[in-house]
Amino acid sequence: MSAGGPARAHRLRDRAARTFLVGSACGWVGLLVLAPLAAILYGAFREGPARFFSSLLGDGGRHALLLTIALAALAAVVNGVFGTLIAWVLVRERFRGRALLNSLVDLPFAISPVIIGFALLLVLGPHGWLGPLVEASGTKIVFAWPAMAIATIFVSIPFVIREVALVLEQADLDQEQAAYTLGAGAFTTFIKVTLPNIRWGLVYGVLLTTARSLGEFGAVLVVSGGIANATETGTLFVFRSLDDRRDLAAYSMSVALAGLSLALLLAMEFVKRRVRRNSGAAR
Amino acid sequence: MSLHAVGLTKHFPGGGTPAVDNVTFDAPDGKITTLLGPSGSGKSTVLRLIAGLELPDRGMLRLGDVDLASVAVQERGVGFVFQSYALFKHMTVRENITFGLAVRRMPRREQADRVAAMIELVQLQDLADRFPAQLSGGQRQRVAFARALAIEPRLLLLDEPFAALDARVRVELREWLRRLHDERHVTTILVTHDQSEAMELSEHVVVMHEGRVEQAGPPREVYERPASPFVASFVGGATLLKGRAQAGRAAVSTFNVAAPGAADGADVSAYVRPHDVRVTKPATDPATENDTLGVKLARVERLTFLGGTVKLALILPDGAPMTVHMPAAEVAAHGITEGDRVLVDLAEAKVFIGDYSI
Repeated sequence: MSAGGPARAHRLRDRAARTFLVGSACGWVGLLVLAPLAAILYGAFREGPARFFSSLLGDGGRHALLLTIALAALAAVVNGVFGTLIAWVLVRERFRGRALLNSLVDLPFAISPVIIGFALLLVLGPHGWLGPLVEASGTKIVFAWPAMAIATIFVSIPFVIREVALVLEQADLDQEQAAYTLGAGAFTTFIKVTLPNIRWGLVYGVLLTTARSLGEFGAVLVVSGGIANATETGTLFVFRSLDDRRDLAAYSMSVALAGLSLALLLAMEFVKRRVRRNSGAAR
Repeated sequence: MSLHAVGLTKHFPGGGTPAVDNVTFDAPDGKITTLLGPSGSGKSTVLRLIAGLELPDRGMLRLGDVDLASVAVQERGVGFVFQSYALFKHMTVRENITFGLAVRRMPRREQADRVAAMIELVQLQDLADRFPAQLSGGQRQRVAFARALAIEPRLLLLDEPFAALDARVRVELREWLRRLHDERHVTTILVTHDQSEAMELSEHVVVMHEGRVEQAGPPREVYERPASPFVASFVGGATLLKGRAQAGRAAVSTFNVAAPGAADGADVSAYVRPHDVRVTKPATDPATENDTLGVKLARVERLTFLGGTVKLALILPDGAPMTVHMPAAEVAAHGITEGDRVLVDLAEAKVFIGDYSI
């Protein structure tokens, strides 16, 4: 009894502390995440589902939504391929300047997207360094989808590189060497042995890239000009609608983009579990 | 096919001394050759050089009549079994074994036949569609063997293949490997730090130490006639005793041993194997703790039963430790227990002159 007394008091104090911690974490997330989400959801459907769809798809909304999805898909594919390549080089190769490359890779995270867009404009724009070259080729890059694609790819590439580098570092080199001794060349070994081992890390990185691309605003705003039905993405559509006091259109597009992101989030949870299980069952 | 290695040398960047230093040995055709040495002795690096997973700085490798210098790892036709097994964990047992045949573009029907034969060879018929994670360590090891053997290698390279297994499975697999070898006679090079594994499995032992070959020969010869103090202590598990020569004899610790050829006053090292010592229990004079004739006695520090034999950790009269193995029955007959005073009798000691390096 005498021993139980202090232990029990301790447990009670413990429980109070836990209740406080869990409560404040839930309250904080609710306040910051759920309340705004609920607000846009309420705003979007306040006048009924028919009005939601008409304001989402009208006035350039449909074009904006499709363009956003196309840019995100393009960024996912390009970053999936080149992000994996860069991650491979960073993890497996030893060369002068590797440390520099390693830190440059995170630059898109560190710099404001608006500045990235501005920088792209300076390079690719009519008066930019590559301006004459672009003009000679006859294709329109700035204020058209190519520049928007480049901007989207640029701001989201670190996700794939970091995720793939992480799983590559843990990958079992013996398996690749075993493949070599069995007669497989470097390419076959990468496709048949390395890629399956890193696939969940790659999928996770691509999903993060896609989510980031869907929400991209600053860099795309600068390089696109934001022309409705031409170079306007979902986020730019929300921005313009708010400016024009068409709140329902802004709410509806916000809900559509948030819905896509939520679907990706659920997919990522699923993949994260697979990644963890895979690394748990190593060997 | 026999393998000849001549003057193999390999430095790794950042390492001062070479990992492999002028290594020369032969692995005879159709036999198991063991590279035996402690960790860091360079034996695994030699194996990787033979496989082509590393390139030597200097030296030559010849497999049969072919100089391997210009042959890529993929073309060497060696089967490599890794210590970690290195199974493709996203492939089933069957797919693992098929891999080497598929990349060689063997016709599918032949692939299936060969793989079925391999699965039967390693007795995994019931587990052919399982993934490596669903297998025990011993089963994974057998898959690794089957995968390496499926390509009908000219040379089988085994890197500590039993190190990660528990003792019972290790002994079973060793016997299985011995039988397998007797059927197929694939020239095999086995890397191990376990001298009993080397003794049991191989016809030819190459003892390595600090990147160099210390001695090569049949296991029995290496055990009975160690060429260096290192081989004596590593292969025989011998105790080192130091002393000085006098008239063809040497006083080491409290023993007097034959030291043929040693000049008077020369430093000698005597190596005493655990099996070459007899321990008896004389009547003790309680006053001096010597025996009744006045001979100084050793003390039994610890007795460890190892099944049929008993390991005795002794402290010699001058304080030096010595390890002795004796038949359990003999220990029981003498009634030797921990703390006893005992008389130590050297049946044999291998004496090296002037070597104090170990």
